[in-house]
Amino acid sequence: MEIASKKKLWKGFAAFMALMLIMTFVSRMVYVNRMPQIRWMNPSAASIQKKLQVDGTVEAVNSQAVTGLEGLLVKKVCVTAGDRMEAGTVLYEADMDDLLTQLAELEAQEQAWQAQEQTRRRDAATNTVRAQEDYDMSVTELDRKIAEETKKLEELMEDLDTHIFRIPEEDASDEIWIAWADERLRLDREIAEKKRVIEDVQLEKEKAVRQADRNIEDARRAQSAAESGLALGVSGAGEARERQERIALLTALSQNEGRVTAEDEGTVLEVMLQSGMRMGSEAVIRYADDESGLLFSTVITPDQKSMLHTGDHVRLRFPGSSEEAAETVDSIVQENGAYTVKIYLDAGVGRGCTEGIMEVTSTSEIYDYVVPLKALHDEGGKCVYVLEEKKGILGTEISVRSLTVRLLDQNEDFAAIADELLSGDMKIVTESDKELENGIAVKEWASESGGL
Amino acid sequence: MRERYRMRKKKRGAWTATAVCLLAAALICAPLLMIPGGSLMDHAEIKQILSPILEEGKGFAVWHLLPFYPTLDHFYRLLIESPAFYTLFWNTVGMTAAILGGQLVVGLPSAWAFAAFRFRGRDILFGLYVVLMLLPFQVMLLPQYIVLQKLHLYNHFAAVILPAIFSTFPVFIMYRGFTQIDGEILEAARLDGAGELQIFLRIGLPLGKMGIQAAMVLSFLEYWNLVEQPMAFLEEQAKWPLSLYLPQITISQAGFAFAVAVVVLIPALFVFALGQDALEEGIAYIGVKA
Repeated sequence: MEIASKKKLWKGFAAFMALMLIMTFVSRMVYVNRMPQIRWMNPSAASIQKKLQVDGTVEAVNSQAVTGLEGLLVKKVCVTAGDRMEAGTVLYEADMDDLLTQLAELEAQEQAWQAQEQTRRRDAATNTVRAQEDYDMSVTELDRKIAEETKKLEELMEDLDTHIFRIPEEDASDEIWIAWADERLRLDREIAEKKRVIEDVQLEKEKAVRQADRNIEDARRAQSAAESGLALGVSGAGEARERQERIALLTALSQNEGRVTAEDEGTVLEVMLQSGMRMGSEAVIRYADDESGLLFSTVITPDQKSMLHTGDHVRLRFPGSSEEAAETVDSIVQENGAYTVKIYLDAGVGRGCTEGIMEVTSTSEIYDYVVPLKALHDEGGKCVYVLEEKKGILGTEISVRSLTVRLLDQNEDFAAIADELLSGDMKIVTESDKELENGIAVKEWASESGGL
Repeated sequence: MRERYRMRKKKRGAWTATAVCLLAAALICAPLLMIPGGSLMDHAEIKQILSPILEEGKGFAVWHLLPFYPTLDHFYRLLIESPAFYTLFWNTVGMTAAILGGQLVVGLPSAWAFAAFRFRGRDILFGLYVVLMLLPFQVMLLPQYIVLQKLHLYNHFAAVILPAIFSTFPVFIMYRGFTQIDGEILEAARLDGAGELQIFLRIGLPLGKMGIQAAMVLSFLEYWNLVEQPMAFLEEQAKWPLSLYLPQITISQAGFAFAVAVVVLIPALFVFALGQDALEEGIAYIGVKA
């Protein structure tokens, strides 16, 4: 081979080796750059301070309700939950156009009803008068008839008396006696007949009077009902009364320009109104008046339950307020797998608030090994990464090994762990800038170590 | 007529021999040709090719020299993301350089002594060298291990370097190179008052350089690919040579393994190209004289 060619080969070889040298540094830099940086600490003996902090609601023990004006359109809601309200505080405004339209409709209905009612009363009065007239006429006519028949009877009685005085002589002929007897018999019959007629007429009069009395009574009752409104029946009267009440309400509301105001003093708990909605008859605003006590209630999990017992002292804070209060847990009731905590607030506590935050702190026993909670990770069970030296191709490196531990206790920041392999001089990884895997090499952040 | 027939038969024989040689060369070179292609194939393609033999074990791998989906991912991963490769690469460079340097220091004078001097016991000693050369490593493994342990050299680079420095094979090759020098030249130099060191430096080295180069090239190729000695005497992976890196790569990383093979081959190819003439001549000398 020529010397020139050999020189080229030597140069090529040298270039290759130089390239390998450069790439050695490059790959090392890339490797180190990709290596997770970790912080570590030795597990130390400590107790776990647990702080339970849960949100809850503040509500009146006996809350009051403002019911909606059914069918009215809400123009503007003027209060929100938590607002303090005084008597006269505007709660919401009804839409005036809608209100006036409804009022006009109701008034028209009322007018029509009133006219109808007036007619009905007049008719009833007329009927009463007519019934009285019928009564009077019937009585007069029948009295006259009785008088006539009585007079006829008296005449027949006189005829009979006369006829009796005209009794024939004892020796009168039979024909005379027979004629006299026949006459007397006729008169007796006519008198009996007349008496029967008079009785019939009197009976008829009694019936007529009774009927006329009934008619009068009916007419008077109808008149009385018409005058009192009972003629409409229960529902009709109720409707009329409701309509009149509603007219009165709407009139008053329209005079107040549609503003619905509070009647009591208290704290608004819940507002079920929205602008533009048409109200029903149910409650639209719930509030706690100043006389009723307040109740803080919240729901805690079974895990949190271990930190809280009936009678425990807790601190309550109220968002949006600087107020803090020490209260006592009054009851803890299990409901659907969770626990409802109730605290009856002292007088004056939590006024004007609808939400609160309950805080309670407890300190555990001293555990041998306590690490930051962030040092734990899940691999089917709770694990920590332990630093150890690993000899490999790149020499001795620091690597992480996953160690399964038992979780004894924990709070938001720390966890008490236990395992036969744990020791106080173990370096437990507490933080890493990249996700760790069992066995991978890591590098430390500068000057790290220490206890809790 | 008979002459022409003989010539034709001879020619036919030559063609047949050439064809057979080409076929054999193709078969021998096939694995080598697979390396660059494989290093540029993506994982899916390699898996597809190798799955009949690696997963099912019932079919044949149908290799294609040019990848369908060429990628430099394996080279990127090797050259940028594998610092371990460089550690072993420089270990190999260092060990090979130390061994070759040591062989020049130790073996070269030995070979010159055997070639230039006649002394009592020379033939026996040389015979011992040859016997040691012929002994396989497995035979020497246990004695070497014991010696290295006693010398507290186990798990040191010296555990691989020192036995290699005192290898007899390069001595034998360099000796053959030195024996090409005419004895009269050496006598003439002595008569002219040249000292033995002067003769070695001025005559021995220039005239025996082909043998030296051949020994160095062969040693390089041997120690660049050293497997058994480091595996036996080096416990720490950080001291391993590159030849132990490939077995660390699983079959699922076949493409990466091909890329490693390509890079590992490069220094060997350079050395072979640089020492090719000397290697051919040296081997020829050895063959003729042996």
